[in-house]
Amino acid sequence: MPVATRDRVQTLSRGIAAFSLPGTVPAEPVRIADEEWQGLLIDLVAQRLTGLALAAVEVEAMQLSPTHLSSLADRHRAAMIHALRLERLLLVLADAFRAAGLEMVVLKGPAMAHDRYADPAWRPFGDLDILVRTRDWGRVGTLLARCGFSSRSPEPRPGFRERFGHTWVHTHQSGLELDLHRTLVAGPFGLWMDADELFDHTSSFTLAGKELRRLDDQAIFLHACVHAALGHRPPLLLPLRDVVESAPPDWSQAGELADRWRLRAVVSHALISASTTLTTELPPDASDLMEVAGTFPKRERRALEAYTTERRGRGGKALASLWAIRGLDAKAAYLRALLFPDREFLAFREGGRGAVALRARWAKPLKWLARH
Amino acid sequence: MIDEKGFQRSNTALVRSTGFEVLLASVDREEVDVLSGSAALAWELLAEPTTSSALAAGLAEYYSIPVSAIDADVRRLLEDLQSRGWIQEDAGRD
Repeated sequence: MPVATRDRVQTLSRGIAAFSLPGTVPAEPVRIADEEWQGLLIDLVAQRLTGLALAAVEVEAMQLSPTHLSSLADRHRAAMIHALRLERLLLVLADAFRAAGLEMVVLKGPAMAHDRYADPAWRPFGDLDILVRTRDWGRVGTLLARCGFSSRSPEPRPGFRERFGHTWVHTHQSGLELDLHRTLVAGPFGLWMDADELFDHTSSFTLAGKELRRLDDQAIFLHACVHAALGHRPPLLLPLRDVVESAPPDWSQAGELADRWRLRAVVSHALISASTTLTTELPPDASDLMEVAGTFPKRERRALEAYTTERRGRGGKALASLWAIRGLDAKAAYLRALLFPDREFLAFREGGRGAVALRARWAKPLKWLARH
Repeated sequence: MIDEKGFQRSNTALVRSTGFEVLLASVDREEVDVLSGSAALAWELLAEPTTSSALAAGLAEYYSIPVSAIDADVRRLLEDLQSRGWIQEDAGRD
């Protein structure tokens, strides 16, 4: 794709991601040229913006030819059918968790779509994300196996995920995917959070007549910030929209929770990214959380850089996690798991066996060092 | 007579309205049903509890056609939606 077209597609996608947000009303309908369409459609599908794009067409903020509109509608229908299948599975799981006496909190997709967005069709999602208590980790794994889930990804060493990890990916026999979370993010910020305290910050939403647990107004906003700021580099558009959609009713309370979870720098980075990328006006109270980077504690700043700078590709998260882990024994266990993982993990991650896989594993930190 | 009853959307349905279509799913059924055209419009009108005759009148007005031309089709649609569990009789209606 020519650079000019690519730039135009990126601008169009940003505009669509910001559809109907304060201060983003276009002066006249945006027209999409034929040469822009294929690239734009691919980007809309990849960034899960098909619902917002259709909404923009409905109110004539964007004009598409009948052919382009039909292809957009087809892709959006597929995204919505996928979301409905996931929600059906979520309801089945909710019953299974209740029957087993296990707690679960719905994160991201369904909670965000039904509880924060004006229309759930604006917020497609590709998998389910469920938060469970760390102490229930093993029991939940057993329950998921009974419900038709399996997990292909081994852990570096037994108990690693439960102690240092963030998610455990499961695949249902139907092909649908579930991310089991014990905290909100991988790396230092996830390790600093008190995972059990997350369960004190929950509320509920209703899905097909059933009440499900979600994070409360402050915590869902902080999680949106975490996902937007730390999930990808640079941040993706829909997670940035999530930040705006989940604006808390009380910004000072959200700020206090951000302080406790050492997320001030993350929240500031997410809000500034959302505001500048989506060119939208945030509520005046949000400005208290949009501080300049230099004002944050050094440890938080360094941890944020491990996700948002080129350090991310050079083992930044693993190193930052090492700082965040408390106690020498725990640090040693973390290092041992990363440097001398089990054979099964090596074969899965490095694609080789024995010494070859181990050499490939060790080559990575050496490359990180070489680039410094 | 089915058209004397009031109907409303079932609160156990999983729903997405996409502007042109309505997609419906539930834990009890494998398939996802797609309502389009006048059926999608009928679904929108069923946001409030309504009777078959009121629904037919609303659709007739939208399409500028006599009620008699669609009355039977509307009754069949409601029966179909009810049999699939997407709508239920309005519990609040006497």
